[in-house]
Amino acid sequence: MKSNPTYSDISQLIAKIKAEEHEAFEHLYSKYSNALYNMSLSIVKDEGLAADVLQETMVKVWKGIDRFEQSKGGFFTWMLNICRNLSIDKIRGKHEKRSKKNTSIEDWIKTEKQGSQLSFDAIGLESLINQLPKEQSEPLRLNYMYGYTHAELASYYGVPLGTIKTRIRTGMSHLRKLLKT
Amino acid sequence: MEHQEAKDLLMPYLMDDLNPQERIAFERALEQSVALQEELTLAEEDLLNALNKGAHSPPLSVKKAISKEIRVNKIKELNATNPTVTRTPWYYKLAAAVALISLAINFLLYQQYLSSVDYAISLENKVSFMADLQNQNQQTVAELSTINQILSSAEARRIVLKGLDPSPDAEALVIWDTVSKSTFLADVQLPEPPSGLQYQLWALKDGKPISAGVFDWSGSFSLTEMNITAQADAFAVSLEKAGGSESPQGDIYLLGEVKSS
Repeated sequence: MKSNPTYSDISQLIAKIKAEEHEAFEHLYSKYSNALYNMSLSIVKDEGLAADVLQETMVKVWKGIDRFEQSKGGFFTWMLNICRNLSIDKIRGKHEKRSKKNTSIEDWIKTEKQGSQLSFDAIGLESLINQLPKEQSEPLRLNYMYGYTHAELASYYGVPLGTIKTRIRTGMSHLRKLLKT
Repeated sequence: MEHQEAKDLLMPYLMDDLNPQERIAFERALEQSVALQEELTLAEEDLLNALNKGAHSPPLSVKKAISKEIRVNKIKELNATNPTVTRTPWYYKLAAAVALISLAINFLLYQQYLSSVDYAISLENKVSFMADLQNQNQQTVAELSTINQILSSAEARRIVLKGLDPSPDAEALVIWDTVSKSTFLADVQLPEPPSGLQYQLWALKDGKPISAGVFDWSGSFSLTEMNITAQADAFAVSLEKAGGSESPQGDIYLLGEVKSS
């Protein structure tokens, strides 16, 4: 049986982080560090970079806790988005160092496949995304993990913007069902 | 927003895929619906569990590094907001006060000294400036006196130069002292020359031009001393390349004959 944190649990945690209690840091790290690290690892495909991202994410969360508005959403959603954005920044920075040109979507797909085959098997969320039909999984992965916009993906696949949005949203809807199982 | 509609946006919200309008609508619905809050909490927990299923754990050093960074930042903040307070014996305070007063007196005396030095330097500069000005004035007065003597001399000839085809309305006045051979150009009314060109005064003797020098166009009345002219039957002004020519190459703008006295 899952131990679902209620809103009041999260409120207590946030209050303790604001009070800079060491216990809050222990709780924050033990509860979320693995998930955030794996999220980053599935994007950056490099343990050192993923560790850097985790550190930056945790420090940002700790120092920026006053910017989190609980009424407007989930605490984990907020942390996950910080982690995801930092991860995307890392890989984009890494690729920009290699080439002055913007890396094409095709290059990302190749890199992603190579990364998965060489070092890291699909884990956690990524393994669930892989269970989706390709026409949903690929744009979903490119959008969520590599930060490509709907417009960029519509242009790449040569389909209308609405089609890409539908594929991604349908993929997310299926993903929700897979998460429940 | 209907509950089902909001539920459909739950995963896109969790995965940061909402556009600004959708986000505002969803967050409004979230504030108003406890059921939606619970749905979001469940979805977050499911996602957290899925991500935790990964076989990878962060290196132990990361936790220490984060803990250290947070503590370092906290220490920095504390130092910035609360300076360290320690008890100091009264005689130290007294000694410090005496030292401060002494420093303040020395500082004031030093400021006064600096002001005096500044004032002396300022006076010296003013005296020097006035002396330079007086020298310049004396020089100018002497020059004007010479010019005045030339202009009022019985030997000074006034030659009116008239405009030719390029500028029929142009004119100028040449004042030539036939004894001292000094030549002045005055009241020049000529069009502004194009860039890279300059007007040049010529003394003509038996039809041969002798340069009396180039002059800058000022657009207003001015008195310009030109080269000494030994002999002249007439004076002319032509437009030449900047710096002048050995013989007139450009159009003649002004011409005036020296009338016998």
